[in-house]
Amino acid sequence: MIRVTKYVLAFALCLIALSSPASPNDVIVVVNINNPTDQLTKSQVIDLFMGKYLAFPNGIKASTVDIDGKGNLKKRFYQQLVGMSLARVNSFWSRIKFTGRAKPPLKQPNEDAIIRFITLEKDAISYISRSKLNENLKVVFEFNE
Amino acid sequence: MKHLIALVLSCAAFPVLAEPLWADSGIELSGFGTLGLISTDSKFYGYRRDISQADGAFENEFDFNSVSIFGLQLDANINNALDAVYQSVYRDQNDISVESITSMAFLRYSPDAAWSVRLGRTPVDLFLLSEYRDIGFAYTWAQAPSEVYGMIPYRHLDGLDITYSTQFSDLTLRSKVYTGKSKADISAVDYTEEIKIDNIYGISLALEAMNWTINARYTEVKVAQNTSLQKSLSQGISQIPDAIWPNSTPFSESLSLLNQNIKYVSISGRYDFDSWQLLSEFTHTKSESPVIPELLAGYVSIIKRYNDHAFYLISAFTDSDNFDISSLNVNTQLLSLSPGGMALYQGVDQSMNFYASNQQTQSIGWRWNIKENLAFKMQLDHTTVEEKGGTLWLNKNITTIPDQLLTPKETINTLSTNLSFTF
Repeated sequence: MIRVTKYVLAFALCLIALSSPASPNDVIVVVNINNPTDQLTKSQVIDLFMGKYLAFPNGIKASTVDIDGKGNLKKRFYQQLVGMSLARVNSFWSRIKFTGRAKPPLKQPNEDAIIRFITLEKDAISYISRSKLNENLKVVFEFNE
Repeated sequence: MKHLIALVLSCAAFPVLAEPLWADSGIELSGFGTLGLISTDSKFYGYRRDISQADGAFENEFDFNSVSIFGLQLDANINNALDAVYQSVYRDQNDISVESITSMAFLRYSPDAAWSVRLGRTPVDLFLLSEYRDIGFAYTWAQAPSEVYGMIPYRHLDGLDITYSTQFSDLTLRSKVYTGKSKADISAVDYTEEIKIDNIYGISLALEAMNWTINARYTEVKVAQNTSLQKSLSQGISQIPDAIWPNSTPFSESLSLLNQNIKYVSISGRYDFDSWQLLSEFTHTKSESPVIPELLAGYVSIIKRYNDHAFYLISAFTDSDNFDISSLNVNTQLLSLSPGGMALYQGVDQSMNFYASNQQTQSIGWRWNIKENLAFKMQLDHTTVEEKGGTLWLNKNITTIPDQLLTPKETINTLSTNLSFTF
């Protein structure tokens, strides 16, 4: 009986190990801690960051915030979100921005600036590395969900 | 070209303008451009991007101007509901003025995510790419199909549009109504005239999922003025006796474009599957005037993406009926006796067939995303221009040769390369 329990425990530990535990490098989507939104679906995050529908589920307008330029975090975020390279994301956005169809995301130079911005703006939403998460922010979407 | 170089150098001199500092202050400067080169092997025709261009790329020429564009945009965030946008574009306009290079200048009020109202100058939204055909980085092809976009000289709408967006399930429906006026140059073999249109009313619908989109557009416009060419032709014909030109007075009146309605319809769709994309659009243009014949145009394109590269094929066409001037039963023998009589006859023939575009193009191309904001593109077009169907092209030599067909049938190869960028 003890031997069986050991095998079950070992199997459970393997399953946990294989279930990709949260890594500090994971890209997470965050809002201000006081934002009433608790969770977003991938489709809703796509709508926000690809300029299709710029509101939270409660109807409040969202201010999407992007990292200026390129960078590994931005590259990973869009690759995981829509499977596109930054060149294709820029191409898509140039269609929206340069026709005046919608306001593009606000730009911040780095993750720290994004965190400062979201801490001050209740309706802002952006993406950061999990290691940068602090008590002023709330996670509303994770890619490994 | 010197204007374009000056603009590019101006931009390079002020890279700090695109820095995030501006975003903090609510103002952002950005831009886009295309530095292109085009050449054709046509004996008769010169390539031009659309019928507004008075100059084109002729045989044995490498032309930069007709395919090079530079744009600057200023976005000003006034508050959460209000923002303003100004955009200036140089694209080898026939005249350079603040008015002619201003492609957008509007104030937007957007109280929530569903509603948006724009007042001022916005891009005209007749067909799928009408709003962004000058922004090369925004689409895969080196050149948008001339068959559809070459016939539309208009770039802007001075007026108002209202957009309503809604979501159900994973679909987004975007509907826009718009009204206003516009103007543009239309250039033929040896002249350029400004055409004004007003009473523009239109609706644009887009249903979008993640991997497909369906778009439908309907626009009605009214021509606000006659061209001086139309006026002189009408005046000339009205003075010819009916014995020589039957029903000359009613026919001369029918040449008037003033207050004539033109209707534009576009249906288009996109479908993405794996690394492939299928894109197609069909357009229909119809007018009350016999000067503007019914025109059907469209294209089908398939794109294969491979990492930073995209390879594509396009098949495009325009189709319209030519006007047969012999159906007027004009007595050309008697007409030729009066001074300028035959020039008038040929002028009517050319004018009545000016908008009758008939051609087909098969294209193969490649886009390489060199950087996240820089792409190299190359496209080879194989075009068959039907007899009297060469409206989309220029032919400068033809007027000096009496009785020569203005637009003969010809098969043309056009090679287009460019660098498209945003910043």
